[in-house]
Amino acid sequence: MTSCEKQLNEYNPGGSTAEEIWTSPQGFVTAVNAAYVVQREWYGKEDGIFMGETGTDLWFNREKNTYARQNTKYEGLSPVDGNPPKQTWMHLWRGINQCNAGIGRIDNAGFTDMVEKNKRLGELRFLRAFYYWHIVESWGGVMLRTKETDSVALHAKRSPVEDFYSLMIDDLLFAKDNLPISWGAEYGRASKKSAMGLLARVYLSRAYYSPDGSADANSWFTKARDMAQEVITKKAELQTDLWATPGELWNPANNKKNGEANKESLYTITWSAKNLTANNQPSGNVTHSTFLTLYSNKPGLTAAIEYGRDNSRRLMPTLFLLDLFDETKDARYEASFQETWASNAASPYAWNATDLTTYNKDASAVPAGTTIPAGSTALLITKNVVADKKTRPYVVYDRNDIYNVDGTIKTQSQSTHWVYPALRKFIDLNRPAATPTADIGYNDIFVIRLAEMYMITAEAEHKLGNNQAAADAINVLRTRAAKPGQAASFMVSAGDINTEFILAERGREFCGEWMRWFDLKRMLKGQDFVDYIKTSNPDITLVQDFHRLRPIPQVGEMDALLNREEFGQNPGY
Amino acid sequence: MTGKPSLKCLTAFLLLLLANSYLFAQEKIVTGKVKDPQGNPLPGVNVNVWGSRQSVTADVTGSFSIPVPSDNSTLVFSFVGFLQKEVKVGDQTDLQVTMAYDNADLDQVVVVGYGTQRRRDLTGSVYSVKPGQITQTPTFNALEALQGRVPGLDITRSSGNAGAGVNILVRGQRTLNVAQVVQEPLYIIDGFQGGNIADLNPNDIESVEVLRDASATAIYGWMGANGVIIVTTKKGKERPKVSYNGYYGVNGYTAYPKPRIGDDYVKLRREAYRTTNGDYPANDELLFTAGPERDAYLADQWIDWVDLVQRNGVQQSHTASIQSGGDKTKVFFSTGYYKEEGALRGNDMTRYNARLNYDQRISNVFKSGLLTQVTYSKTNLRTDPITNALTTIPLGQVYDDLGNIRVVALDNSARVSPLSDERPLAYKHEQLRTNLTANGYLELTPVNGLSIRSNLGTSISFFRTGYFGDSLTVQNFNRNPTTARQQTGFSRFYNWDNILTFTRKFNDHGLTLTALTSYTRSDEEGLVYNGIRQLAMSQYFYALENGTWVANPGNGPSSGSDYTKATSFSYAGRINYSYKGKYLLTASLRADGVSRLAPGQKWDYFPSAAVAWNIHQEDFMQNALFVNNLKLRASYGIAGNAGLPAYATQNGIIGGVNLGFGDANAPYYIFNTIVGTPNLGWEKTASTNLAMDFAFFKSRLYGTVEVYRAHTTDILFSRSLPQSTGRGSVWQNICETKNKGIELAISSVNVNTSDFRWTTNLTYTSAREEITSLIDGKDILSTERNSLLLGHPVSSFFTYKKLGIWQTSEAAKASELKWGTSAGTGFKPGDIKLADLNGDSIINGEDRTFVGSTVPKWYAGLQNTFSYKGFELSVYVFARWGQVIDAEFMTRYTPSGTGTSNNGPAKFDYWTPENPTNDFPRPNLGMNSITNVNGYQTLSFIDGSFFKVKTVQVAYTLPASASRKLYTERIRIYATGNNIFTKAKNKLLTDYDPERGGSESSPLSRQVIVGVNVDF
Repeated sequence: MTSCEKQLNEYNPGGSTAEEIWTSPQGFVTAVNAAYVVQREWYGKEDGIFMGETGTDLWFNREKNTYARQNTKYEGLSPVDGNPPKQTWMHLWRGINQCNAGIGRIDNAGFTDMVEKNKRLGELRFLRAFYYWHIVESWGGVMLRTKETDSVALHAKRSPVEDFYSLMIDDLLFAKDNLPISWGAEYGRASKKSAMGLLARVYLSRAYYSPDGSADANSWFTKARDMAQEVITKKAELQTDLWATPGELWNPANNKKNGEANKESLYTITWSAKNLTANNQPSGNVTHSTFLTLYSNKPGLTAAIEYGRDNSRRLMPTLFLLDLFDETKDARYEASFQETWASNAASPYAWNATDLTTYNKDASAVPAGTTIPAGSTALLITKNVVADKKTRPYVVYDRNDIYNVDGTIKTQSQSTHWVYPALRKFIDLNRPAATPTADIGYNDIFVIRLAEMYMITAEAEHKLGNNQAAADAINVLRTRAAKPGQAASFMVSAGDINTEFILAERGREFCGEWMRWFDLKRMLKGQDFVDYIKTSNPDITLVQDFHRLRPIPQVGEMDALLNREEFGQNPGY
Repeated sequence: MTGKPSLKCLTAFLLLLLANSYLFAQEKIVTGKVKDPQGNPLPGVNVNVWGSRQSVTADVTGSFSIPVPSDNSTLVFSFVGFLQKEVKVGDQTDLQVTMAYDNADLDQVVVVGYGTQRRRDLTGSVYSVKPGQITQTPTFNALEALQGRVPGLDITRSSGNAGAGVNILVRGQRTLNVAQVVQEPLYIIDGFQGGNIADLNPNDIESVEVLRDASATAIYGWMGANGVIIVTTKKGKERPKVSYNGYYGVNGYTAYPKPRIGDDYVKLRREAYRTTNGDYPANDELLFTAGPERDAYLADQWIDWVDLVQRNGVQQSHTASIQSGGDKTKVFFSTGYYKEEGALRGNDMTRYNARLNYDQRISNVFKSGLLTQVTYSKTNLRTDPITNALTTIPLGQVYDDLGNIRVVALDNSARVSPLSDERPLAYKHEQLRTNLTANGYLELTPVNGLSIRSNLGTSISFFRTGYFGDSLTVQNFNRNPTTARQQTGFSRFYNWDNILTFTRKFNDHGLTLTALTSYTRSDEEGLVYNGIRQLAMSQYFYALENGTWVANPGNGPSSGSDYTKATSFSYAGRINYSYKGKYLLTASLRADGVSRLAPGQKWDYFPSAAVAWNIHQEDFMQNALFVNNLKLRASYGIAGNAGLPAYATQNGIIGGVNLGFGDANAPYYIFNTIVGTPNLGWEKTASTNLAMDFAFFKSRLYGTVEVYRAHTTDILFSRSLPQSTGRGSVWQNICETKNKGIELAISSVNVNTSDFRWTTNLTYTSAREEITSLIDGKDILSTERNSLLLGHPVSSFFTYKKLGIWQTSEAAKASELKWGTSAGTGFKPGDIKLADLNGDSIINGEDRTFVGSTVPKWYAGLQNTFSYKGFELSVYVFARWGQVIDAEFMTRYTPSGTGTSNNGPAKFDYWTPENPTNDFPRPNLGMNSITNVNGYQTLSFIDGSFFKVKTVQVAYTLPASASRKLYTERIRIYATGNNIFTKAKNKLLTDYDPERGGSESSPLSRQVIVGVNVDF
């Protein structure tokens, strides 16, 4: 019988266990690397954009369609429906478990070099805080898991939001003290400035959970300001700086250079165009197409890398967002939005009778046969009014073609048109030139930018009653944002600073950058949250206060929890 | 023929010589009498001297008289309704021949686990399939031919692809693991495990036995938990026989929903426009995007993609075989060729088979043999474009001016042409597979009644898959660059059984003891090598190393390898006891150990017992002459199931390399989704079977009725963990199920005259399955398709319940009902009307419920065969009733109808204010996918009941005299139509064969075949 028993032992040379791999310092790095995997599901895929930016004052579905309408207009958002909250919930928790496993197992990994060990632990603790910030801000006080899942775990209990923040702050303080300033070529890893930047953001978010104006709140605002200021003061030491102009910041050629991070980025999620095996999904970062407009079917234009892939465009700006900018002074508008497209057709386009009708041209001013030469303007889509649009020899859409006076979006039933100024922050020149319609993209994502430290400073100072200090911080950004010769008139003073202004300034600075929903959720409560969104984005009519938290997925989470009644769904759902 | 006069002459001469030799060799005259089993004379029996044209017919008293050339001659007795019988003349001159009915023959030897038994001695549920039935359906897979012919055996074809297999369940689904391999019955080919049933040439099969109850399967222990199918291949015969079986026909005429096209298509877009904008557009042109889409519309360039992607392929099969041998040696050799072309161009399967069965008696004590088979098959696969065909905008130009396929039918379109893979050098997906099965045995019979047999079975398989697709294929378009892959697998299976059988008869007592040990081991290895951006398309999936990852030649294409090993060890004993042939008892015990369970949980014991009573042999039945057989059987047994994959108890992590920081790679190991569990034990099924076998009226009406009940406990299930654990699932012994059912097989000889004969076979199965207990005491909820619901079958669907579509008159009521939350949107006329089960005026997760199961209420097969002289007509109908299917293409209805989005089936009736249908919701420009429609999930689950004329066959067998003129013993020609007519209960399935189970890809096709069977 014993020989038979031996025959029945499982032999598994093709598989691996944590005990085999993660027990040496070299092997343990694979556990740390694994903890980074799922962040690319939020940053680089569509779900993260919908979670971070939509359902706010800034964006609406292009052509008022229904894509991810649960997020964009709170329509049917429920534990059962709405892919972005369902998908990101699953991915974030995979990240948490991977971090917990690494943190729990590092003592058995055989590290002898304590600096090295603490660097790795710093990465894991940074990532745990990073994931938990997304979880707690999106879903509120859900389960706080700090241990690896290694058995049948079918029960969960809720923890208060404050406990999440304590854990995150502990993790980030450790990370800040132990992470290196630079990882060299591996610049996608969390570094000291990543930890400091996230810590400033976490302090700021935390402050709003204490009663407004209380000593406790003020202590968190103070920490937020101090941490943001520390990054700003030590920016040389931390190897970061602001670009001189918004144009340089968003120039796609500056996205990354020579295997180095963009200098303004404190935490970068990377893709490689040079080494495709370094990308965990073939399509890479698909953000480039999310905010584009339908240009490639317009006379004189064809799909091109420099204009981007318009097949998967999802979101259009609200009139509110476009009108936040005074583009005569603020260079951020031009750096962020594209209004003109020069002809890129192989041969000059000649107007014909059908197209003249379609695009509403005055045939006497633009007779059939008029051409659009290559390189000259073929398409103008502007937030302004163009009085002579009928007589210009190229396609023009102005404000009145796209928006109603009350700020709602016009129904462009005729699918030919479907246009709006396009957010061009994420235009990706690293994409394969041969296939401009393919979704593949390799741009890096700047998760936390140095500019955010100025805005955190401003917001915290404002909450602490120091509006002048707030204005000073904002003016640093305004100085670089101002068009040449406009800087002086573009500055703000203490009297300008209030919540609305800070929100508006954040909108101008960070629109599209995975942040807006969190900003609104943080700074506006109750009816203020509802009214603000409904006023600024009148196409959103269904938003309610309880939408400041997302529903916990029914399938996958609530259904699998044995104590689901006791645990409870988030209120309102 | 005129070109070969010499051959013709030579043949004629040789035959003349042969004929003469018979005349001259005539030596003696044999007389005799033929009787039926009751001893009544049988008139009209054909008596033939084997190997000659000499034959006579028995007269009204059953007497005959025939001259034979020598004592070595063999007489062949044949008569419709009776088994053919052969008698060697020897020194007899007055023969008394009793012929047996060919139905329900109680002395028929059936194959059971590790042995054989006469049918009259059986205690378990063993259903035998006659040889002819297997070759009647033109298929390469013998199991498909069994569909509906065996009660309790639920068979559906798995897809319409060339070379696709079948899904098979014996007595329903008891276990929860959805992996096919765990639910499949155990296949035993010639007493050996490990062969692949799909590799067998159906023409090589002599008989098939299906073991269903615990008593019959218990001797196979845990492996028999899902039933056992025993296949016996043909053996050599003393009387040589050479056969050819072949057929040729068409595979196609596939039923599939037509897409919308022309005005029907425009109408949907018009309605969608109206819903969104309040009114119809000023002109239809406005519905189309300027540029290629509108140009194509104005030019009336409509495309029926579904029609374009389909074809009618050719299906053919040729098999030649020899059965031969002498007293000591018996040989069967066959070789076969099968080719099937699927309904998609480029999809085909070719298989070559050779089988050699060799049995050698060495002495009175020793006997040994080899049963070997080699199979080679080549399958060309296609990415099924039929979903694309159904949903791609039906406008544009399919071909360019030169007749080449355009990659997109509309310029700048994001939708690839469903024909894109048919471009030259664009796509190739080829699978090669070789299987060698070599089984040997050695049997000793040292004393009478004792046999010791050792079986060593080996099966070795090699497969290679080559895949190549350029960047414009259906799979890669706008997504991936040119990709190529080669994958190989090498698997070995060993099976060593040692069986000791002791049979003894003393007085009225009959005793058979069986003891055995069994060892199995399987090793599977695989290797995969991925290439990307191949330079030369003509290299396909070869020279993968030439592929490049842009600008970084240092990082080559990716590769991987894996290995899986599983072993089992078993001991078993069985006792068969009979008293006076009337009272029968069988009892067995088996101990099984398997590697895949956790240490300490690997071994368990599985007992069974059965009794039977041959009532018709009782004295009191002596006068009941119309009863030819009446038997009651009862059995009880416990079977085990280790229904989980190897290594499922281990906590694994998976390596990955495709991650980086900047341009540098960062290898990682990430958790496997399955959390290892150290204490998994056996899943067990206790089943009870009660049965009655009967034959009445000279066995013209015979059959079996069985009822069974199976109770499965500790069912192994990979249950979902809450996502917040960061892991996917965990194996647990989680629940209990109960299955019960009634099975009926009845055959009758309705008319039996010397020229005309009509027989009917009916099989019927009605079964119920339900989950009776779950570990947490409540439903385990997961997705629509894999939730576990107490009181319902394992394979159940769980979602909202559709009541219809909200109608205009119900607008007020509809708007009170909110979607998702109390703040959600109200419903409108034209939306799907969902049942608000808890009455809270909100449709949310609480309103999901059981909406049906894939388990049919019943299924049945009915075969009628009419023969008149040499003509035979058989009609086989099959029905599967009461199941709900997951009909994927129901969600291909596209409410927006817009160009870059989707098209859908033409016959789907959608709601408009003027058309108050209850089928599909109102078109809406804003809903560019059906998934935007609230409650759309419920659309997929519809009644899949169907009735089908599965096979109609017309055959003609030449009269013996005519076939002998053609120098053959027997010639039969036939024409068969397969799957020819299907009627679904649900009107939405009009253009679809529901046997496919709801999948929209690879629909089932029809076959029309002509064939011939020739014996020499």
